[in-house]
Amino acid sequence: MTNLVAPCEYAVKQALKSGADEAEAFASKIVRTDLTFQDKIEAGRSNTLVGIGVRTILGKKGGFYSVSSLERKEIQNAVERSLEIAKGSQTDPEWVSLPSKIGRTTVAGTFDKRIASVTPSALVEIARKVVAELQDMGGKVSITRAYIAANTSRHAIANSHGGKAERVATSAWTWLAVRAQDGTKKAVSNESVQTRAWRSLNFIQLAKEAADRASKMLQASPIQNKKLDVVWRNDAFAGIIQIMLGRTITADAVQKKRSPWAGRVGESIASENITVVDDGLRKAGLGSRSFDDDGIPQRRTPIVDKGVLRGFLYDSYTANKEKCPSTGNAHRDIGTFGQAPNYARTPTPAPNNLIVQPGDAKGEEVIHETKDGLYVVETIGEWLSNPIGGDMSATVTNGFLIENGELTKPVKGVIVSGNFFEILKGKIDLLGKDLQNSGNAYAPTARVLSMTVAGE
Amino acid sequence: MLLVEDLLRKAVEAAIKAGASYADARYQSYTQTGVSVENGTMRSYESEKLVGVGVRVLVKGAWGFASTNELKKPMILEKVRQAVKIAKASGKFVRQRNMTPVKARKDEVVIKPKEDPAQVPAEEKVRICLEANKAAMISSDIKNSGTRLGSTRDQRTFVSSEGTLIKTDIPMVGFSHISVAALNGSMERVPDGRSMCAGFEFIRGLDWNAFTRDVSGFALKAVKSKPPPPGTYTAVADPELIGLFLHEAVGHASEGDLVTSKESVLEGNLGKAIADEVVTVYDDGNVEGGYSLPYDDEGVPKRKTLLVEKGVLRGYLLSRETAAEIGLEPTGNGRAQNFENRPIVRQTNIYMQPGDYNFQELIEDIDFGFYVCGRGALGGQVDVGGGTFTFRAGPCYVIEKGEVKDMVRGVNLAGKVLETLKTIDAVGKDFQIRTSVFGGCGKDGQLARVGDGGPHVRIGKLTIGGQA
Repeated sequence: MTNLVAPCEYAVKQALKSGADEAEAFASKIVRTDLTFQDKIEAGRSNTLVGIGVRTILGKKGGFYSVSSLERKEIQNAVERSLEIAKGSQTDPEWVSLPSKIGRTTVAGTFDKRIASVTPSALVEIARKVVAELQDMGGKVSITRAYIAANTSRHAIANSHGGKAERVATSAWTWLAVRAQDGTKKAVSNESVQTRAWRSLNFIQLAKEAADRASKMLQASPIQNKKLDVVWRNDAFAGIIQIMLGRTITADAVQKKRSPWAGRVGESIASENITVVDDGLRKAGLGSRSFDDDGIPQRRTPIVDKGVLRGFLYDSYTANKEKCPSTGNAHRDIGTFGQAPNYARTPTPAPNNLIVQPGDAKGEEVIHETKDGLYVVETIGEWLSNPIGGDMSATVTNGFLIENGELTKPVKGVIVSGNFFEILKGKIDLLGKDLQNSGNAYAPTARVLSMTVAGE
Repeated sequence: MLLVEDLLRKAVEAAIKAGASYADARYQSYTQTGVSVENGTMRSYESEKLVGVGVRVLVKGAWGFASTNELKKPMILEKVRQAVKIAKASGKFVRQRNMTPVKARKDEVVIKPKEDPAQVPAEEKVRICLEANKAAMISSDIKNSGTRLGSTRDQRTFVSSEGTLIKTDIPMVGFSHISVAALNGSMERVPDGRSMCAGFEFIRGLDWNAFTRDVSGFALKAVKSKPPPPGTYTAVADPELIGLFLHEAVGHASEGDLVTSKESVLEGNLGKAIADEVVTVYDDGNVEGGYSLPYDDEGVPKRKTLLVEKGVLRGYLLSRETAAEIGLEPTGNGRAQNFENRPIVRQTNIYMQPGDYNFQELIEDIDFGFYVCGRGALGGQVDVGGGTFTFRAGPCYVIEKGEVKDMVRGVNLAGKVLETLKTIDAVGKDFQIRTSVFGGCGKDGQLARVGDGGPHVRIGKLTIGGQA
């Protein structure tokens, strides 16, 4: 196994030798095995990617350069380019220092040997079973596209204040799209799971669920404009929370005045049944890591406690600005461009595992208690909502009307919208106990009262 | 030290020796630099160099793919072995792949920037961003000002076992800005940007301080506006928005892999009317203002592809294997984000051919509707199987009795591929295409640079989500 600490330490040493006042290096090695299939195998793939990013500080000026190699010559090149950029960059009067202490904690369930040792033939075997299962369901349903991936990532960090740390983690991802066809009518339903535990991937069950729903969606018909109580399936609601809350509860958004929550800690921003935490230590959480991308141990941070805003998420830089401790939320997966591996980026704060605390109803009870409503299972375009202005909307691609507590007509193509701030304040009246994740946001099934549904 | 193309040739030779009937190897060297300034201070200056090789092999009709960024010959040969092993793992449980034969070619296309962005000192890029960022602070109601300047250089070498050797070298630069305005407890953000496949001369050629001031002025107007009433209306879309619309409503549904998998609602519609006869749509790898793609990642030249002619579906976007399956010629749309990914069918620059209406003629007989605009828009998404598409417009305007009236914001639009296209009844005579260095189109976890646009277009029925 590649040792990633040594290249980081080498980069830091070289940077100091070349005149940097402070230096930091972050290295990654990512190994991915994946498979795409339809009714037969499309293609299998194996990727290996290594790289290192070097941050140098001159006084209060910072530079950053990354290379996709761990060879000394390339690291030296990254150090020199990083310093060149630091020289040409602007003094940041608010710069304090890189983290003075790098450390780690332990989080259960972030490494699964079964994921790390997945072989292409094991994936082929899974695909074969899933396809066979759907063929047994009769001729109307089939897989249009499906994907299984197993990732093993190793990251290391070192900085000139003397610390270093290394972590290794695994994750798996599957999604499948199932088509139902009846004459000229077509419908598609998708299911996906992102997890740290291989055993939690029940491929057959996912395929059956998508097939069953796609068959029902064949009968989807338009509905009129109206106000309806909307029940969001847990993962769809988690997706909404990620977008509407995940981007604005960071200290970065608050300090830069692009958060509606700035200056409102201690204020009641949601109804009493709403509690949100960022739990960087959640067992097998998708965003659980032993240290963040600054090299600081992750932790649990309350965000909203019974409706009251409690605080924000910090990385080292934003914490230094406010002279408070980092909450261990540094991430390198957000940057200027849409495409770059994380070693190629500098840290900014973002949620680790953003969790809306579940209620006590079973998922189906939330539906049974709804007289007149819409059950939303799949949406598109929800990520286009505006977390700063609060207007939220999603176009429903798989949904069902709820009439007297029962799912009835399938619905697609309607836009569901509402003001997220008003929704938090008192329109979420029922929460299930069925926590599910979409990426690293976790939420239960939730009922939102009186949303606008734009149809015909 | 082996030359890159020799290394790639060794890789495909090794693959053929190991039993592949076809193999290709792609080398990529990709550099990008991004300066980001927020509220008058520098946020980040990131620069990256990504180099690697991806190997694709076809063994008994099954694909295998492997990549690495360790460019030593033993590592590349190890990846060839892995790719072959992966292909063999599929055994008989594989959809037999064929590729439409193409003539082997050797070519090199270099877009040479007048001024190489890599040679522009960091100080200067930072200064341009800082000045423009500060220029946007035109009012105390502008709470946040974010400015980015980016440049990329994408060099690719493609070698196939059929003897094709293609080298491309494409530069790109861009500038983008976002202003957030707040007024009476309400906030609105407006992003806008310009990019071009060119060098730093593009950045020098425009007044970015005026650009960001203008974005802020627009945000200040938008924050005062109200959401639209929800419902289905007649809309006139501007070129930026019609580009987004076509990308979602026509582009994705015409991608060959979604057609052969029978997922797309356009499958089986070749030769049939899918839109009104005023609608003609192209996907073109080389068009002013768009992203330049001379060759795809299968070594096939990307030319102008007719998708919709006078309302009739005339073609699909095709890679070599989807072309073989459908029985048409490949269109040069087999693209990979980078060396780590195998090529899949992607759009390039999609646009509608202009018609003969001027703007006033387009809105003249609209009693109540919307002028939907792309400036400040965030993008869109389509459910290709269900045929529903959606996108988020920028601030828009109400059209009342043939006149453009009040601004509205938070406008979400949705429609159905096979229905909405038929309601387009008038096409403007203006024309504009844009692309972006900061993002692109996402599909199957891969990002591709794309462009889109067209003229002003009237759409008879578009669902607008708002708040009642």
